[in-house]
This record gives sequence, C-alpha cells and structure tokens, in this order.
Amino acid sequence: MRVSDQMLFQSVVASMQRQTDALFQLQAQVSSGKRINQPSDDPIGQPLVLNYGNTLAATDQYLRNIESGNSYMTSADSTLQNVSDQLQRAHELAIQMANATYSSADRADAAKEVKEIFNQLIALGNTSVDGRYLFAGDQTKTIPFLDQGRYIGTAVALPVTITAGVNDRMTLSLDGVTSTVTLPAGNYATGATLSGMIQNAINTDPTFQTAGVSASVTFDTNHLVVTSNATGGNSSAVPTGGTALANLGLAAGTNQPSGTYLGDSNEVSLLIGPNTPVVTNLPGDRLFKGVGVTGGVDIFSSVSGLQVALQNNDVAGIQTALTNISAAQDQVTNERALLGARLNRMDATKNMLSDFKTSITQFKSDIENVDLTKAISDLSLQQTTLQATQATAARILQTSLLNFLK
Amino acid sequence: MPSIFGIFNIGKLALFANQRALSVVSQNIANINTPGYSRQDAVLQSTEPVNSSPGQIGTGVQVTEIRRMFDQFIQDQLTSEQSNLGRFDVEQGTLSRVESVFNDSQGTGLSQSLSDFFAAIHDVANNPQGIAERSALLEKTKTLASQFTTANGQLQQIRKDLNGEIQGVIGEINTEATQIADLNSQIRQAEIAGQNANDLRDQRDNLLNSLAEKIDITTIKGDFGQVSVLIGGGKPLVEAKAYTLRGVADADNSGFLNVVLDPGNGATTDVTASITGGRLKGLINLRDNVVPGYINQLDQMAAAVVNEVNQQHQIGYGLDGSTGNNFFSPLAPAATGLSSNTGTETVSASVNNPALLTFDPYQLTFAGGNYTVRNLTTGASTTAAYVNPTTVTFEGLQIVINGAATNGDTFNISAHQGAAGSMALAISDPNKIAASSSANGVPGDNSNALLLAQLQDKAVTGLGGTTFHDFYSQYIGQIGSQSQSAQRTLTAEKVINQNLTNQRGEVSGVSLDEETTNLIKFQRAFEASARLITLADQLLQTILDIKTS
Repeated sequence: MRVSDQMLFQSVVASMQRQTDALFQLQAQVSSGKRINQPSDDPIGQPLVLNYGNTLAATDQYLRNIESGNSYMTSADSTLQNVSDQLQRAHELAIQMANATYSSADRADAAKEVKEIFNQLIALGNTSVDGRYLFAGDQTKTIPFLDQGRYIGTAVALPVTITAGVNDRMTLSLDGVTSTVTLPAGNYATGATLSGMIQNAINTDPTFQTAGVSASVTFDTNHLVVTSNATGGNSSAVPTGGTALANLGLAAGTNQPSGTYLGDSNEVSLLIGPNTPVVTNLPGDRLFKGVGVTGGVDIFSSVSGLQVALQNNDVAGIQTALTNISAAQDQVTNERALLGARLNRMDATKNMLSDFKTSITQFKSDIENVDLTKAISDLSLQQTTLQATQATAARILQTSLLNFLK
Repeated sequence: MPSIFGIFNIGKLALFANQRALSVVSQNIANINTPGYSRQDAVLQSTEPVNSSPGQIGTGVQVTEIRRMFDQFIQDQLTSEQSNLGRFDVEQGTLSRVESVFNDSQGTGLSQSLSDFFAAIHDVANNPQGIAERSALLEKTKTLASQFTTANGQLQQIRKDLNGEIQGVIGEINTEATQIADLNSQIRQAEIAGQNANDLRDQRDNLLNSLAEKIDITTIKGDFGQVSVLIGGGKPLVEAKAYTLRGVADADNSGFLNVVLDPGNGATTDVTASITGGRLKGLINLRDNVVPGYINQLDQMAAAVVNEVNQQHQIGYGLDGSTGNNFFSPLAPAATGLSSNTGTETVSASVNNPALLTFDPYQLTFAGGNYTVRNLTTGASTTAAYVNPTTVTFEGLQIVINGAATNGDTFNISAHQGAAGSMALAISDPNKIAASSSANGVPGDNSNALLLAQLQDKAVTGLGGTTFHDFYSQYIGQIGSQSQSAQRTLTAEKVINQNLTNQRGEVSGVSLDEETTNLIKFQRAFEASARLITLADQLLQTILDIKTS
C-alpha cells in the first residue's frame, strides 16, 4: 500500500505517546504504592477497598471502646478487692469481739477501728476515674455515698420568727445522742442568719458538747440542711420533735444518714461490635446496698451495725452484725464475678477483633496495593519498549530518497 | 516542412506539459505537511493526432487535468467518525474531572470523614460527661459537612463549566458554518468556469471535519461542487448561506443554555434534543443527565445522614438537659414551578414525618380540576379535587397549595435537593449534644449516643435499604465504571480514526520519495523536450544549408 510521509510521522508519534502514557501510569503506581489511584483504575475493586477501609475503621473504634471500658472496669475490680479486704477485717473483728473474754473497753477500742473501716468503705464507694464516679450509675458527676449523715428540710418561708415558749424547742438526735435544744428568740430574715443561729444553738448545747458531737447547719436555696460533723457508721442528724420543727421545715424532711446512696441504678454500656453492647458499670445501690438482689444486704449498715454494737458492748448485736457482714462479703464476691465475666468477654472480643483486623488489612492490601516487584519490572520493560520505539523512529524518519540524490 | 515545424511544436508542447507537471509536483512537495491536503496529479494525454501517410502522426502532449487524488467514501466515513471522537473526548475528560472530586484513594475522602464522624460519636458514648470528646465530635462533623458541600460545589462548577463550553462551541460552529458557505460560493464560481477547485475543496473538507467534531452533521452534494450541511433531525445549517446557532437560557434548567437554530427569518427551532453526536452532544448529555445524576445521589446521601441523625438526636438529652435539638440544620424541601405555568398558585413543601421520607423526586400536577402528587421513581401517587387552599401529606412530605391553579401547571418537589450543598452543624455548644436517653440519665447515660453510633450500620430506607457507607461505595464504583468505560471508548475510537486517516493517507497523502522520483522523471523529460527543439532547429538549419553556395 502507499504510505505517505504524514502517515509515517503520525504513526510514530502515536506509538511514542501510547508508550509514554503507559510509562506514566506505571510510574504513578510505583510511587504511590497503590494499584488504584482513582476509581476508574478498577471500578469493581475501588468499592471493595472503601468497604474494607470502613470495616477497619469500625474495628479500630471497637478496640478503642474496649480499651476505654477495660480501664474503667479494671479500676472497679481493684476497688472491689479492697472492699473485700476491709470486710474481711471487719469480719475478723466481729468474731473476735463476740468472744466473752473481751471487755467493754476492748470493744470500745475495736469500735474505733470499725469506724475507720466504715469510712474507708465509703471512700472506696466514692472512687472516681477521670472525674467519673465508678459506682454512681448515670449520676457520674455526683458523689454517690454520703460520708456524713444529714437531714434535708422542706421549704421554709422567710423571715422566720422564733418566740420563746412558743416555737423555740427542737429535739435532735445527733450521732445517736439525743438532746433538746432551746433556740434563741428573734426574727431571722435571711437563710444565713437562720442557719447560723441553729448551728450555734446545737453546738453550745451542753449534752452535745459533753458527748463530743456537733453539726453544721446551712441554708440551701429555700430549705435548711443539718449535717453531722462526724464520720463513721452512726453519723446522722435527725430532728425528732419539738415546737420549732414546723416553722423550720424540719418536720417532714429527708433523713440521709452516712452511707446513703445518691446515685441511680442505671447501667452504662459500650459497643464492642455492631449491635453488641457490654455493660461496663456496677450501680452502687445494687453493689453496696443490695437493692434488687435476692437476700441483699446494705454493706454500710452492716458495718455501722457492728460499730454501734461494739460501742454499746452489745454481744447479740455483734452476732447479728457478723451475719450481715458475711452476707455482704458474698454479695461483693458475686458482683465481682459478674465484673470478671464481662472483662473476660471484652478480652476475648479484643483478640478476635485484632485477628479480624489483620485479615481485613490483608484483603484490602491485596486489592489496593501494587505488587512492587511486578510493577518495577513492568516499568523497566516499558522503558525499554519506549527506547526501542524512539530508536526505530529516528531511523525511519531519516530515510529519504533525497539523501541519495546529489 | 510541416513535419520539422511539427517537431518544433511537439517540443514546445512537451516543454509546457512537463513544466506544468513539475509545478504540480512542487505544489505536492510544498504541501507535504499541510493537514487535509490531497495530493494532486497532472494528467498527461497526447494531443489530437493528424491524418497523414502512411498513418496518423502524433502532435504532442498536454496536461488535460490537474486531478485531486481523493476517495469520497473514506472522507465521508472520516467526517462522521469525528463526531464520535469529539463526543467521547469530552466525556472522558469530564468524567476524569468528576473522578478527581472524590479522592478516597488517598484516605482523606468522604468515606474516611464518615468513619471519623461515627468514631467521634463512639468516643462521646465512652465518656458522656467529657467536654473534650464532645468538642471533637463537633469538629469532625464540620469536616464531614464541608466534604459534602465541597464535593457538591465542585460538581456544580463542572456543570457551569460545561455550559460555558457549550457557549464557546456554538460560537465556533457558527464561524465554521460561515466559512463553509464562503468556500461553497468560491468553489461554485471556480467550477462553473470549468476549473478544478482542488485546494478550496481540501479546505472545505477540513472545515467539515472540524464541524463534525463539534456537532453531528449530514452532508448533501449539490451542483457545481456545492455541499449542504444538515444538523440533527435534518435541519439545514448551511444551504445557500449559513444559518446561526444560538444558546438560549432555559429558566427550567437553572438558566443553562438550550441550542436553537435561527434561519434568520424569525422561525427559530430548538434543536437541543435532536443533536446526537459531536462535542455538543457530549457536553449537553453530561451537563443535563450525567452530572446532575451524580449531584442528585450526593444530595440523597447527605439528606439521609441529616435526616437519620436529626431524628435520633431530637429524642435525646444534652448535658444541659435540653432536648428536641437538631444536630444538623434540618432539611429544606423545595417546590419549584415550571416557567410554563400560568396559574397564580403558591406551593410550599415541608417535612411532615421524617421516618417516611424516600428521597425520590416528586411532581405536583393539576388536571381536570384535580391535583396529583406523584413519586416519579415508584409511580405512587395521590389525587384529589383541588380546593383553595389545600394541604397534602404524602410519603413524609407536607405540601401546602394556595391560590388559583390552572390545568397543566406542574411543580417539581424534592426533599433532598440541595442537601449536600447546605449541610451544616446546627449545634455549637458541646453540652447540647444529646448523649442521654432521659433527662434523669444525665450525665452518665450514653444510650442515645450508642443509638447514634449504631446508625452507621442501619439499613436506611431512603437510600434503598443500604448503609451510608455501602451507598457511597456503590456511588464511587459507578463513577469509576463510567469513567473507565469512557476512557476505553475513546481509545477504541482513536484507533478507528487512526485507521481511517491512514486509509485516506494511502490515497491522498504525499510521499516524498514518490514526488522526488516524479521530479526527476519530469526534469529528464523537460531536458529531452528542450533537446528536441535544438534538434529541430539543427534539422531546419541543415535544410536551409542545402540552398546556400
């Protein structure tokens, strides 16, 4: 066939361009390490790569969730270990002091140790991690267990007028000591003056002073709060009678002795897989107060029962407390077992997810990543082809009849 | 002595003929690189012989014709393939540009942002009272929203650029049509006078190829070398003179241009739908079908994310106890009337029940005193007689119609149109993020946050029952597949074109070796012809010398 010079030039140029383009593609693959640099490189592989990427991101998140849950739950577990230790010590003391060979003085001394055990249990119940209280249910910003007993009054209309002989008597049971306090007469217009007056009256009462008990009284928004200054199992402040109670809103208020639970019973979960929640907390009322547990006991009242029985040299009381404390120890052990089971599950899931992650990463890499060895050898081959084309082009373009006509 | 003078004559004619042949060869050599040039051939023929004894005697040679070496069939094929080439070239280029809007292969695309968004929700669920995690979630949400708005913006820009290109191509078509009409008249003048208008025809063929690349044409050969050019649907672009194409803004298509043929006597025709090839077809198809399809799917996905997250978020409680808050700015359904509507009614649309939204396109039409709201994808509809005013609820939408409607009025209604472009965070205070399912559960309850996180795995009704990620993966796969197909089609078309060009080159191309050989051929003949004259002169001299003495 006839070959015109334009055909020759165009064909040579087209070949070189085709090969330079192929070289360009290979070079892009080698430098990015990926076979798929844009969706059109592999329209079937690209969505798979995206899906695998999404799965990997989700798996990483579940692993992070497990880490977060783990740190929380491990703290709870070690706290419960301490609780068990404290209860064991109380148990031992109870057995010891139930023995008739001990005197009331010995028992009074033991009561002091039990009081400290009580305070320690309160502190353990109030453990927080990263600003979150572990055993408070959903109320993670509120301190769950009261260490000092208090009485929260109902709403009071200011000003309050105390008139001698009419409404100036208040009978208060403070840490187990009862006395009737006479309030100074007067017109109290602000919450501060009212609460200050009552506090002073309580703390200057001779009975309370002799017993060494005192209280703090504050005015919160619109009601009075009377708080015992003592800690321990029998810390409480309960108005029991008197003419002053009605005006002061202390007749129908809420009594919260030490060990009262201020949180709620809700469980908090984390996701360790799609639609796979795991509960990560132990609500304090269930754990420490036995709420919702068959045969459950209130750990704090068990220990405070022991403290009071020892203080009162009450052997029968010590026996009762011993029974309760044993039940409390079982309760803690059961809850710990529940926690332990959850921790094991999280651990197993973590291992499974790590293996899963490795597989998915492999699948993704198989589709997405370029086989570097093959790509580099393809690159060399392509370079050689291009050079050959260029060399032959140079040859062909130079041949012309004019070279031979002189 | 007629025979000696005859030899003179023959020599003279041979000189002229060879000289002419040499100029044709020179023309070929000079134009060896001219695109679209068809080589010319001087056709030599012996002149009329005279009667003599013993027989007829030849009288010399002449160039009867300068013939253009040309195959009309190949040329016609080549012209029509230009339309395909132009169209596929535009499609490949634009789809490649669409692909680069979504850069997921680098790990920074929309898929990654969506994963990060859900991961941030998990982090809030792990520590519901923490402000740091909540602030981080707000930041990740802003990133996600900006990915959607940026992608939408770039796709819209592509549409605008396509429209601008259409305007440019229309201008170029008009220029070339005018030039073809000019060449038509020049060729006519030349060929009426009996000339071969070879170079003019070459120029015209070039222009026809260039025109065919822009818009599919049919050519009809007329008398005296005239060529009429028809465009889509048999409408004339060039007859005796060139008509004009104009771009006319279409109010129902965001002001984008329709292509209109103006023959100059006021009766314009809209030819947009009848263009079937060339760059114009590619541009129009991409601008009005392909790219809007991509924008629509992006809107559907954005609307689904906004809708699902908002529904779940509204029933939760924030750290400050607030509830009923939207997380994203809520969807803003739109009702747009066609420019051909004649009634004075106003139509507005809002979301009535987010759980029922389908993200399909809807249309409200009036006919026979009734209104009909139809889902254009599934065909489901509701009809009733129209009274002023009317409120309709249909598939999660609430449509309020006020005023007087005329039969035939049409409104396009969509819950998701524009969702990607307007996606934005509606919360700025981290305390308002609703992680808790109840007012009492604050601050430790994370159940609503868990439900929000689990939206990642939810089969969303509005997206055809797939998850957000699956929908996006399919979307990218579709774009990739169409782009790859466009690349392959273009490559195949280029090969076809190359083959046809080679075939044309076989017939019409100039070969330097051939022309050089011809040069030598005619040069030798010229030398020989000159020799003839010298010889004839010598013969004559010899005759004359007989008498001298």
